Amino acid sequence: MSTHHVRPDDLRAWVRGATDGVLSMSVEQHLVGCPQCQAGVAAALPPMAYAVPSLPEVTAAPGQPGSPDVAGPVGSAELPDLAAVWTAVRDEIEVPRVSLLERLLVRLGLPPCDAMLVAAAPALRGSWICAVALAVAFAVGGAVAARNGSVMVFLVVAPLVPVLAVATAFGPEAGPALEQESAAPYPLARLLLLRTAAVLLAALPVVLVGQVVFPESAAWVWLLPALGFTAAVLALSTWFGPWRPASAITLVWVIATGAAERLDTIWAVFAPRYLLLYVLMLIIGPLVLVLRARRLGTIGRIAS
Amino acid sequence: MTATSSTSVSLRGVTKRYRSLAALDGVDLDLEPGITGLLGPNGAGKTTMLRVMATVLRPDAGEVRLLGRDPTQPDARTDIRRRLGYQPQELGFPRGFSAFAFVNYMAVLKEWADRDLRTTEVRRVLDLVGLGDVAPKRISRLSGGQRRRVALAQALLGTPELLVLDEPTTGLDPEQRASLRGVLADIAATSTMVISTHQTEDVAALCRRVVVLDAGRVHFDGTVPELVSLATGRVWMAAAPDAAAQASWRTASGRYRNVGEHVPSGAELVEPSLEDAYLLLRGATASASADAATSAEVA
Repeated sequence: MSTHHVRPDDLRAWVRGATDGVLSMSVEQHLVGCPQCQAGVAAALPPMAYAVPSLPEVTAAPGQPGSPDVAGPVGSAELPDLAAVWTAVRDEIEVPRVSLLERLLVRLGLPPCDAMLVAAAPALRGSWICAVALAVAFAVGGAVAARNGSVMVFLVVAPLVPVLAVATAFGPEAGPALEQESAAPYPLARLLLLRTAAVLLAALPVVLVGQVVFPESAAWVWLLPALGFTAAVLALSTWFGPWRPASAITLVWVIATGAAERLDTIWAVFAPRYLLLYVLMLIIGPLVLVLRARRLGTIGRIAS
Repeated sequence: MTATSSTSVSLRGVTKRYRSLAALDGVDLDLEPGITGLLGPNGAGKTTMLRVMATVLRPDAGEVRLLGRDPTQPDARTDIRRRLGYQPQELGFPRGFSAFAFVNYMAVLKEWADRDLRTTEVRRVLDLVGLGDVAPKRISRLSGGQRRRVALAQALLGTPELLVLDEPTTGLDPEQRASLRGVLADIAATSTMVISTHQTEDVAALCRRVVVLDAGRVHFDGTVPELVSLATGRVWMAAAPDAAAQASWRTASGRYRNVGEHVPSGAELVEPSLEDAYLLLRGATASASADAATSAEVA
């Protein structure tokens, strides 16, 4: 056995991969035959991310390898728990990482399971892509409207963005697992509302764009019909699925704003009596949704 | 028919119509622990019946009790769903999910709130159906058979008391099917399992009881040997197909297997299989339907 050993600084540098080729070869050649320096390597290694805090006691019979009266590596408390290490490796590979959004939602007080379901919504790519595409389209439309000095495009499109995004979120593309979800005990109405929240979150940029494009107009005014329409779509989806109510509301809104424009009273769609109508939709819609979901035990396009 | 304390599923006069078509027409059925196979042609009402048992479809008429509870009551329905596993016929998965992520997502919906316990359970069911190796893989990149097993894995979460499986072995290769039969047989030791299938071999290998549906009605309800016995003395091997047989097909040996009442000339009587009995029953059902239609026309 050599009486010379690798200097601790060099050993730590080698462990970090910070030594040059010559020194690395020298260290490695020495390590092969020096248990003392091998132990030094173990000490210099960073703590394993999945190190087992306590290992099971060795229960080997006296005289057997691993028992306290027999020296040797077998039964040493330094042996890693391979099952735990393997589980940790599988966790790393298989278990989806907790996303930033999920962590944020939990911080905001949402139960972890609900946060996971909301955060899982981006996997429903169709709805998110659609929502973002609508937001971008709206931004372009808003810019064109601003250049022309007309708010018509803005008024027509803005309240429909959340409606169409939510309808997309529950179409066949976005909800392909609804049959399986429907047989689970998690309340479907809650799942529906959480998804709505997730999709509306994606549509939120539209609000910001609206504020930027038309700082003088109160964007919140058109938020009211947007929310009312969304609530109506959710409630009516328990009878007709999401797309037919969304299409009908879109059609009615486009005709109403078009008629108002022709009469040169575009803002008439925001008259107090209509605002009251939107508020009623907003209140009644979720109530109907919850009652229907409780009665049917199923919702949306499989409500047959 | 009387439901007993061990009855897990009880259907009384259950009817479900899609416009003028009766998918289920006054079905009475009691199921107890063990595996029940549901056989029938396409459009017989098998999937509709399973959807009713899985609480995702409400019948137009009749009474349903699942695990001793009434699924029309919201609280009872939630309780049933906590004890239920369901694999639908039409599989749908959100794009972008891995096999693990999807089963994990379903586990959340099945109230596995603790993350560590959920992870362990998801891993258990994926290993059980032989998907442990592909757990991190995107579902869109899995084969059809693997996707079906992902759907089965989510149905097995929590070892449910009632398992409703719609064609679980479709798309699986013979080795996978044999392996899956073993898994299902183990689970059925402690649960009530209903399997809809077109594979009579699966029913013969797995099921204690078999129900044959046709046109929304139960046409046979009994054990597998009872169904097979219907064909005893009615299956013949002959050198040529028999035009009078209810079913006739060429076998690998080059001889023809004829199923029916008629005895072909020079034929040899052979032991019937479940498939023979099913085809015989189907033929009898078709004849009875044709006779009924003729009688109605005459009347």
